[in-house]
Amino acid sequence: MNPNGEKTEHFYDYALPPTALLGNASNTVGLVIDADADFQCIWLIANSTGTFNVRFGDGGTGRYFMSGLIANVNLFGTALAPFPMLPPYVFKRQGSITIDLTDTSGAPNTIQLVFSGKKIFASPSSGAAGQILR
Amino acid sequence: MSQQSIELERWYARQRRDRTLGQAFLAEDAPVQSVPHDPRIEAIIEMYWPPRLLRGRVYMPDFDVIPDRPLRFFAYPFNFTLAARQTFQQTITIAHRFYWYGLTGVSLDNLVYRLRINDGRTRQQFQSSAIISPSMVGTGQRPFYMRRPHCIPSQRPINVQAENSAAATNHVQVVLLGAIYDG
Repeated sequence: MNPNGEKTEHFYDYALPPTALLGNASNTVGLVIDADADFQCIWLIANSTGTFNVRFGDGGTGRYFMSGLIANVNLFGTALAPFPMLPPYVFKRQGSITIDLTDTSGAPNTIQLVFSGKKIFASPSSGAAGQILR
Repeated sequence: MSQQSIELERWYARQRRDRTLGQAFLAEDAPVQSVPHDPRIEAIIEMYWPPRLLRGRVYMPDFDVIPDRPLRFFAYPFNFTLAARQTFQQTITIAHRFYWYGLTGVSLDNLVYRLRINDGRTRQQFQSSAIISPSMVGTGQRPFYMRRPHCIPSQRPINVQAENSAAATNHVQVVLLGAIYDG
């Protein structure tokens, strides 16, 4: 906590490593949240070489954020125009984001998803290097 | 003292005067962050840094209808495979109380379609006639946000009717964006 009792936060992106899918193939991957801080996801960004369907949820609670697979263009934006996830969701430290991917382009597809938001640290001592301390 | 050290002392003095790390991040000389300069994003940053409730913001007016409860983002997709000039209606029963605030949609064949949405139980229509897709739904990059979130009670069926305006098969997905109670 800083002197006013507020949690320390800083901008952070959790990026799914580029995932290669064969045409019309499906895959389930997971993103592990670091142990040093909770993560509040605010924006959704994706980049791919083809179209795909996606569904993701909180691996810790098993709750998904959609009732079914959603086309990437309906749920993810770009860095210029990211999709705001409202209200932002806090993934607990050492939790995970479970992601189901299904290619719909019919051709090999390389997908990268970025969950953009901020890390929420409980105390300055667990913050990143270079942080201003009192 | 050199000019550089004087400026450094002044900078530290401003940081101490700001009192909170959050304000330091928003100060004029704060470290540059890779956040796009978009009024929508700045409105979201203002909402959640420091944390605030999703209500009464310039970006999303009339969101005070959402009560002070823990909410979770949720989306309901409707998928259609429409033959040429075909009209089809799909119904989804909303599982939880759902605050519907946005719409996105896409035609995977890049064809035009029309939409009509209504409440399956009360037959309440949300438009006077079918609306062409570019005038009703947005995309992931630019979702269409409603003027005021609409509360859909639990176990309420929602009908989405899609009309294919093209003379070819049209694969359409429409997504209702909103928030549900978490817990």
